Amino acid sequence: MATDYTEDKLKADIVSFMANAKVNTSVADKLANTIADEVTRKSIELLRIVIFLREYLTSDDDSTRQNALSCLSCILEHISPAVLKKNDVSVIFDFYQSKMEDSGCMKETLQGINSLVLMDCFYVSHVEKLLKLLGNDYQPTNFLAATRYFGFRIMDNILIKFKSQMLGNLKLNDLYIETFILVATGEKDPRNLLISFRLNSDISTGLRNIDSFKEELFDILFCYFPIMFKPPSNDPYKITNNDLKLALRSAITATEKFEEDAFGNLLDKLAASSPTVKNDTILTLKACVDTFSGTSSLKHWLPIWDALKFEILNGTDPEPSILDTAMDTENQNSRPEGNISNYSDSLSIITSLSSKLIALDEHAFDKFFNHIFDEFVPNFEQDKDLKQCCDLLASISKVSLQTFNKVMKKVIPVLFMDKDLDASKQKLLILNLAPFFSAYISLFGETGKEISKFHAKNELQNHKDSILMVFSKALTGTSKNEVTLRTLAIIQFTTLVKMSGFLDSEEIAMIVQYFTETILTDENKNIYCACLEGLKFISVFNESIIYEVSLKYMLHLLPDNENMVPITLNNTDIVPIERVLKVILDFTTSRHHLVKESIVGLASKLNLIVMHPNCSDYCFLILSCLFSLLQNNIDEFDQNVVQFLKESMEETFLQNSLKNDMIYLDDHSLSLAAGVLFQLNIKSDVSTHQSELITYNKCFLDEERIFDSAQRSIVIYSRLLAALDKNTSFEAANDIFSKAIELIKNNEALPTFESLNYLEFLALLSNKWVTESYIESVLDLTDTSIKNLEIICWINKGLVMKNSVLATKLTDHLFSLLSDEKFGNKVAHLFEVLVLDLLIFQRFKKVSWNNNIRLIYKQKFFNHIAQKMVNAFKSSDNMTIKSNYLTAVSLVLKNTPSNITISYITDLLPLLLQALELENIEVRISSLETLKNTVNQMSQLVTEHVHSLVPLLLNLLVPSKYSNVNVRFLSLEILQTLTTSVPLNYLIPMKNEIISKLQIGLDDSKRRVRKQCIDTKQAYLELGQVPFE
Amino acid sequence: MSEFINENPDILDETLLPSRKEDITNELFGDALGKITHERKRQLLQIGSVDSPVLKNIGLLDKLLNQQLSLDETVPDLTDIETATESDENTEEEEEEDPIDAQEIYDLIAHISDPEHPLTLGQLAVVNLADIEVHDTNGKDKMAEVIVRITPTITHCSLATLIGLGIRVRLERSLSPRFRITILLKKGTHQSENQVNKQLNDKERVAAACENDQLLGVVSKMLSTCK
Repeated sequence: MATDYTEDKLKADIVSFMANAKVNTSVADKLANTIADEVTRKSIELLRIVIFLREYLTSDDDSTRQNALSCLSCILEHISPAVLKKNDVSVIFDFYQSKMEDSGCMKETLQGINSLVLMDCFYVSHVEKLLKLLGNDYQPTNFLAATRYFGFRIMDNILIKFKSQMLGNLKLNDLYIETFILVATGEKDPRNLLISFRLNSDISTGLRNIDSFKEELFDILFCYFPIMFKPPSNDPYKITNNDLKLALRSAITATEKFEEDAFGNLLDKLAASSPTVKNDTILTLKACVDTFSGTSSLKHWLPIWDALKFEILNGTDPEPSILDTAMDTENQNSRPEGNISNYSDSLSIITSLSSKLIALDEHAFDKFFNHIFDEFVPNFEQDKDLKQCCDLLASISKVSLQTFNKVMKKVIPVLFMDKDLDASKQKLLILNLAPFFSAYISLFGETGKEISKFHAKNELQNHKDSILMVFSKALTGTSKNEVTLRTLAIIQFTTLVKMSGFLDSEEIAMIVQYFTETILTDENKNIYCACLEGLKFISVFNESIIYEVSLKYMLHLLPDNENMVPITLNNTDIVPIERVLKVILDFTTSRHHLVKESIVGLASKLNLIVMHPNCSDYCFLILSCLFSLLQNNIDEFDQNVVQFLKESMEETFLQNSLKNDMIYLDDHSLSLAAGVLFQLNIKSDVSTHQSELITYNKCFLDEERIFDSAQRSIVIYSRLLAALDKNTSFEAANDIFSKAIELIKNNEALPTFESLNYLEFLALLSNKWVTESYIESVLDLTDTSIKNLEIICWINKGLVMKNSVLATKLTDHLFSLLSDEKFGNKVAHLFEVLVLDLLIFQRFKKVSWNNNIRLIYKQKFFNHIAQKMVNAFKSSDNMTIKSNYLTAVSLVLKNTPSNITISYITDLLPLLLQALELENIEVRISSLETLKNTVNQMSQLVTEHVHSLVPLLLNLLVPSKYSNVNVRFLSLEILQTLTTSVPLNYLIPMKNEIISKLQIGLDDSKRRVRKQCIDTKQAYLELGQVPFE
Repeated sequence: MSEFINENPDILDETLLPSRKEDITNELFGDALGKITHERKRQLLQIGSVDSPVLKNIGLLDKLLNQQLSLDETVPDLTDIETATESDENTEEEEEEDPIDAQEIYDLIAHISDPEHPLTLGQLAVVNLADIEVHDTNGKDKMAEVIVRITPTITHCSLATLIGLGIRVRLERSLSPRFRITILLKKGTHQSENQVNKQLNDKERVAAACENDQLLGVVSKMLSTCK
């Protein structure tokens, strides 16, 4: 192989390299690599290459010389460091040395030298020569950034390779530093600067005799401060301003030798007006304090403090208002990246100083702290800038237990100086305590997270009682109008609980009691939310306290019968039952604590209530609350919880619902009770479902005999079955399916509640158990009595939801009946049933067995009927029949998500417009709602109809039997939306007419309509107006 | 009062302005809920929000029960059975009249911006609920009257007329033409009370002012913060 590489080939490669050198660097690089490999393999001598290059190297043409030299340098770069012998290195070094005078080739020369430095045989003796050479013959400012880059690389490599020699040879050490200063002076290129900063800190931390050079070394750093760099759009190195900032900062803080210069200069820069510069300065100052020793902090804290004082006392960080924080304490996120906060960063310097000083010497800290504290005494006396003072003192305190105690010892007495507090002073005191609580939390941790062992001996603990007293007084002793103060007290009470180890459980219980009483008696929303959040937070770690003090108390407050209403608290405040239930409900949402306990508690309450007559409304409320508790939390329940709940309440609950007239005879209560039972079963163990079915059948078929005569309890049976596994074998299904149909058909006087629930039951069976063939055999399509049509429709619902083939047939049958003048109208209303979302067909997370519902059944159904409806509508001449189609379409639209319907809107729009004239409120509302969605989402479709739409909407504004509040309100809303979604040239001609017609709405009898009308009118008045400013 | 006070007027917090006590039944909208018995709705709204599942469920139940009722009607009615049976009870229940009262007028004008401060007239207590009178008892076809008394922040406030004009424009745009609007300075709050009152209630002068585009621009800007 080695012999393969002939001289000719070498020549060819070299020529080829020179041709590519400035054009195609990757090719050139590859060639250099090939040649270097050959040199390493010793199949060719480096000398041969030099000889071959000689004539190019001496050419008069700059470019030729550059290419030739570049060729040599590139080859060197790729040669392994061991190949060149001492002699070779010396010769080549001498060669490059001679080339230093050729300024046109400086880049290539430096590149070559850089590679040479890495050679094994490049010795210390060469280094000295090289450094002198650089010092004398290299003027960095005369060359481009790419050239200077190699200058830095050389310095970098020398330092890496010869550091130990330099440490042993002071002369060389000094020479190196001097040369570095020369090389680095005047640099501007970001890539070079990054190396320069790094070298600077390597030198200042790694070499000797820095003291004699520290000023120069510092100057070539600080002349860049504060660094401002915006990367060009085609930046190849991807260096950001932040990289440079951080590199410079770490270089400045690299050695304490810079301290005098650093602090002095940085403090000068603090006077900068630009916030970004100021922030950079503050952060660099902090880095200095953090990295330099405590002695340096001791030396400089006074000037630093004097310089920062202004920044801190005029701190203007935008703080979220206390009421906002109450509303969403959970969303408090830290300030986003890139946002600068000079105030908090200044405070962090103070914290750093405090931490350095206390570590150095207690007396030093005392002096520092006392100096600052004494400056603030007048502020405390005059209540001036107290927030800043307290933030600052808290920053000093949050370093260690020792500092915390020292600060607290002085601050607390000053804060509590004033004994006689009015509301605003209380507010101030509470606000001023807040920073110290945060300091406590950052020192000793948050409840539930790791606990520090020191907290027992802290100074704040000694003042716990007075703090609690102030807060209690603020919360319980002030008038209800002091919303801010009371909210503050609640929030800070919550903070106290957050402070790890600060309160004992009795005190927490007291706070819970305050919160519970406040939340029940206060009308204000902010206070309600703050209390709720507080209770929720406490429940995370102290669930048992909440259970004992709050939940049990509230359950106890709920009366056992309606005679005990109203509930009074502390003999003064009257608490409505609804409020107690609302608190219980709201408490369990989002965090899902104590749900089980609440449900069980309410269920047993219900057992007591049903014993008393005349409590049907109260019963209904409790049932609603139970239902909501289950509905809101069911996704979080696991099987154990469900099983527990089922075992502890199902039996009694079922009996109460069946036997107690207060529930049994009330439509709402009975449905809700059935809903509760449904939810108790939906997540129960599937393997028990078969036996459950047998039990239920026994109860309802054998005892209640619900298919022999119509019973209200069908609703419970139907919902219990809805929760069971669809794969459970159910032999009686066909039989009771037929029986139910018979019951509905043959019972003329069937009450609506029973009728509805038997129909719903049919839908359930057709969806889960009864086969299509059986259904077909039972149904009589020729019978067009209303009862039979309802039966078909409801059965079809179950089928539509599972995308059954039979569903298409039944739907078509119903559709054909729309053209019947006699009962088409009723059929049209029945179409809504097909797409209604019913509780029994609800889907739950991680529950797949309860029904056969295809996710896109509505889409399929809508695709099937939409076009048909439009065509049938167009081909019909009879107004009554047209209105049947309109009614059906709008009712279906109302229950179908707009993303499905939107693709049909073009065809449907003319129908919708006609529907607005139909004398039916529900149809009107439905088409108005669809129009509203369309205007919002695809306004261009509406644009072409705007001339017919606007007069229609304006006509709807006149109150009538068929234009109720909702119709009028929606019309106005759409009219307003038009101003932003329809092109001006369509609306401007109608503007005046619209404005004058809107006059009717201004005198509407409903306030809400009037308000909307005013807004709509204003929108038209401003239509086409050039916005001011 | 001195010039100084005008630069630092007392400011009321936005949340503390008088507002209508929220009537939760008024939140009832959405037609699915339109048919639940009034009392039950009220109860449910006190423990949960309008879109809570329990309310939806009860609403759905009532709706379906109603449907059953209307389908069972044996006599076919060509117009519409459902509304025919319901509307009698519904119109009575739903179309209960909300009278135009002082609070409503206050809500209309309290959010107008002051031309000098980045604050609203309500916050500056230029308009106060107690200083608004509404006389509207004779039904929709009779004249009615609104009287607003404004309190300038200082007695020589040169912008009192502009503020008055802003209020007038807002009310004229928002009220039915049967309302006569009178805007007065509260007694003893301004040096040239009479002149300003005359100017504010002189039809011709107000109309002339509204012809002035620049002036109307300023007024529009004041009104842009109205809610």
